[in-house]
Amino acid sequence: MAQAATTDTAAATPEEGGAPARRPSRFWRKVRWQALNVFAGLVLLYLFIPISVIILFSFNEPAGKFNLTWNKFSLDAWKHPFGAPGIESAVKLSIEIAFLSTIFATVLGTLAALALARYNFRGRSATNFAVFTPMATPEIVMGSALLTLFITTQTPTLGFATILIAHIMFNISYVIVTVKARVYGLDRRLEEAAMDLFANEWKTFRKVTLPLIMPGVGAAAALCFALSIDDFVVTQFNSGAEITFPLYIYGASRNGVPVQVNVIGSLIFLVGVGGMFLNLMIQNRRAKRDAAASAGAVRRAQAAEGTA
Amino acid sequence: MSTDGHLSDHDRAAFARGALTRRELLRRAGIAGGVVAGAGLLAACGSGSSSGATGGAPSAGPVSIDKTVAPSWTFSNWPLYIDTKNKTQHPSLDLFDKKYNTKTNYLEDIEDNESFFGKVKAQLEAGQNIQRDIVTLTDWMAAKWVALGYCEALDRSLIPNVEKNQSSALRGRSIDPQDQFLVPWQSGFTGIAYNPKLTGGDLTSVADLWNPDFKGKVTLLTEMRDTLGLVMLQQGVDPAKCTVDDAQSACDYIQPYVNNGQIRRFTGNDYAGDLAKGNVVACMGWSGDVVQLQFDNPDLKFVVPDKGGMLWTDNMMIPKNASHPYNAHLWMNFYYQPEIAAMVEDWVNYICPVDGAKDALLKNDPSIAKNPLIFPPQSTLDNVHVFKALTPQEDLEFNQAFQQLIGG
Amino acid sequence: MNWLKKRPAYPLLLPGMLWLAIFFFIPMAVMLYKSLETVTVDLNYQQHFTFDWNFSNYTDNISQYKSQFARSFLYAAIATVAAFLIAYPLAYVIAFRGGRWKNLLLLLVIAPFFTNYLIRTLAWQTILADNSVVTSTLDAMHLLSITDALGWTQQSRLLATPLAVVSAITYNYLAFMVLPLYVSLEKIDQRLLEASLDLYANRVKAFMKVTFPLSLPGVFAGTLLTFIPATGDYINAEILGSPQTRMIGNVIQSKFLIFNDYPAASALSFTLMAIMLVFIAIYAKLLGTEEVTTV
Repeated sequence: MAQAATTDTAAATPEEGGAPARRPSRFWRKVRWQALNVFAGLVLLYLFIPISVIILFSFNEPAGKFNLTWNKFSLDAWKHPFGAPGIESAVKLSIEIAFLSTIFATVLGTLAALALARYNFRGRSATNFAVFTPMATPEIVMGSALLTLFITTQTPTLGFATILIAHIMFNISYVIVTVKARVYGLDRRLEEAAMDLFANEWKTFRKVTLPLIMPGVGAAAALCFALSIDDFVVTQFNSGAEITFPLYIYGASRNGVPVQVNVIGSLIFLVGVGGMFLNLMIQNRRAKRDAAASAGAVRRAQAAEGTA
Repeated sequence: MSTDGHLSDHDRAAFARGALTRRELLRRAGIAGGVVAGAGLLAACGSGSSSGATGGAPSAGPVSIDKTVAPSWTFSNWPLYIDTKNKTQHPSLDLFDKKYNTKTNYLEDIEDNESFFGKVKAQLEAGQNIQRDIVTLTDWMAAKWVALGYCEALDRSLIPNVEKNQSSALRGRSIDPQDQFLVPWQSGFTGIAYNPKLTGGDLTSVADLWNPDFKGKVTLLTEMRDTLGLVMLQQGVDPAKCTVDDAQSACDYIQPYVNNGQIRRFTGNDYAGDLAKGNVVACMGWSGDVVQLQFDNPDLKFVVPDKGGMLWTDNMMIPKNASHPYNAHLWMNFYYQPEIAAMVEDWVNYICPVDGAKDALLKNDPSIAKNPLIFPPQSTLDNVHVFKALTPQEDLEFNQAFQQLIGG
Repeated sequence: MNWLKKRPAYPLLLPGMLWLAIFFFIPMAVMLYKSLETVTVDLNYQQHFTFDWNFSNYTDNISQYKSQFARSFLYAAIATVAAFLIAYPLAYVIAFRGGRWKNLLLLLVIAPFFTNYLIRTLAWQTILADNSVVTSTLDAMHLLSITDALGWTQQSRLLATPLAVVSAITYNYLAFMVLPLYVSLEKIDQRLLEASLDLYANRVKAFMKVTFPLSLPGVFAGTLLTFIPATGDYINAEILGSPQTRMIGNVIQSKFLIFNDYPAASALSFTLMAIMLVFIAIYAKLLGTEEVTTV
């Protein structure tokens, strides 16, 4: 692509095509080129404004109970991240729910994704549509409908179980879509070869299919965890009296959000970004290693043929 | 853990203590597994709720309570409504815990009467334990709970201090004629909170809120009885005797100020943030809050409007089927000692319902006598009113009119 | 077992689809049922629901809240267009000029959305406060007087105005626009681009005639995934808005959770869902269901 960019000057002379030769000068073309980059850079900066404010104010020691004006620098909140009443149980509940809903949604979703990506069966497009619908439904509709179900069937305890049910529900679609993409890219011949070798469906699945789709499953699981720990709307409708971390923040926002919320929010951010970054590095390493390995293989092949 | 898969009290208490062991996690997974396997059984689960008939009539007669102190219990309250040290410790609760060898789980999770009720309503209807032993709700919501039978009747023999020290003005109220269910926690005024530096002077009446200079920097409350009450008083109507038409005319009075942007928003407790930050210069607010806010912004002031302010009382009550009613009674009794009530009063600066608390305060700190929020002059007391106790039908109609106003 | 061997898809699908059926589709049906009930309150504050085909729940509520509906669609539409205009250049730069740094840049784009939705929105409350750096600067540049005249802001402030709400919605859903755009831009074969540059004297024309049309699936996906959640959003309106910016989500939330007026709330919720379904159906028709689900 870089090549195409720099050959811009060489291409499109007036001899070709019918456009008149009123090309802008090199200076203006450079400006236009840079303008796009500058715009992209500005957008990135814009994206980081809120998180910067959040992290900044996590180091604030508010004068009263409202963390809205900078008062003075303090590491207090970082030293006692669970210092605010109720925050510890809220965070723990959120993490628990995220964990459990990730596990269940990933399992259920992966199985379904395999079915949808592999097999052509009757009702396939309907199922695809059915899977897509929750992703495209406003959260308030999903949450309120589920609440209506619980009320009508008089499920007694709106609480842990109902939150979990809701989270698994909205996570499944994301898992299916993510894993399906991965499964599509799989070479079926690998599995067929494995079947010839192992003759057992289950063993093939365990030793060949599963490792191959693992990156997709891993990505889906990470997505589930992130969605679950952040979910507010669906949880608000179905939590009864239980309080997850987002619900805690909502409640606290009326009366002054404690600094600890900023701390924990920053921590979640750092862990998430750190995780993605790590994943990126691992991917890069792996790609480099594969490239080196195949380059080495090519060299050896060429050497063997005597055309080094 | 109960057989139908719900978390037992033990689990919840353990959870609250942070005991997130692997065993607990696996047990939760077991619940989740049960949920997966028994998804279709949910409907059946509905009928398998624990004891308790749903209300219709209030519970008859005092409950016979097991008189042993439970190792822990839960007290749900509004934010910043109890003495607080270092943002998380509560000396009065600590003293209580030490005396009775128990652990109080203090939750500040009541932000708003309606939304709290919305949270626990379904469980109360099903006769479930809502995991709280005391909740503190404003009189009109408390009246609803009493009417719906969601409160446990109190055993007055366990609360002699309440018998002795409860302010006479708060005995035998129409919402609880025999004082069977409610024990007052604090009373307060609704009036105008403002920043004199930004308003350019002192405010004295609701009409001052409509000053065009304050356009977009005024908020009113989402508590219908407070907002409409103050406006009715401004219009010369007595909120204790108002009708739906009065409510509608109060809404009509406010409507133009909503339309032209004079009123920025309708708020719950969250007017406090805007006021402290300066986004709002004057608003309807609650008396004791201003004292807390002065830590954020020392300029703030509170005033009861000249045409009248609203008086309300928040009440402690024991929800139906609470697990530790004995601890709840003990706390009510403990709080109604003048010295303890004085401890709380010194901090929250609302109006204490306990006789003798003010004397105890005066002894320790005579200058506090000048605090008009704790020691309101008679002129103020004469100028505050209570909102009428509405019937369910009126409640619906008043709310509908008010929602039209807020709903934009 | 032979039957299973022949149709291996079904047992794999069953658990997941059953979960969705019970906890997504059936609740929709239940909500429809509930929306046709009438609720009465007796003298003891008890609610009683009777199913009586009460279509007035729909007619009454839709007419009463038609401005909130209209406003929700308007805000969501503006936010979607704004998100598109912001996200497309960004996605373009990353996809075509990112080179080795593509994945890192993408990570930078997604990272801010790892903060909690509520905390993000509350941060905007601080950033757009009445005497904050942002507000004061915009005021000094007289931009706020312009927006006042347009009705986007009031009294030269940003909080509790439509502009604040729409900007926050745009910000909060930006990731949903960037990612699909990026994915479809990234898929474009470079050789097509080079060919287009050889054909057209003008880079802009090459873009309009080749690049943009090839990215349309991403445009559609991004638009849909932004517009639909934005319509039902209520948090931004609640935290950053005023009574004049109330969206249909606020109404549904208060009716459900505060007033427990389930029939009315269900009717409103179902109406919102139905309108969204129409959009999804159009989208699916345009692209085919396979494309729809391969975001």
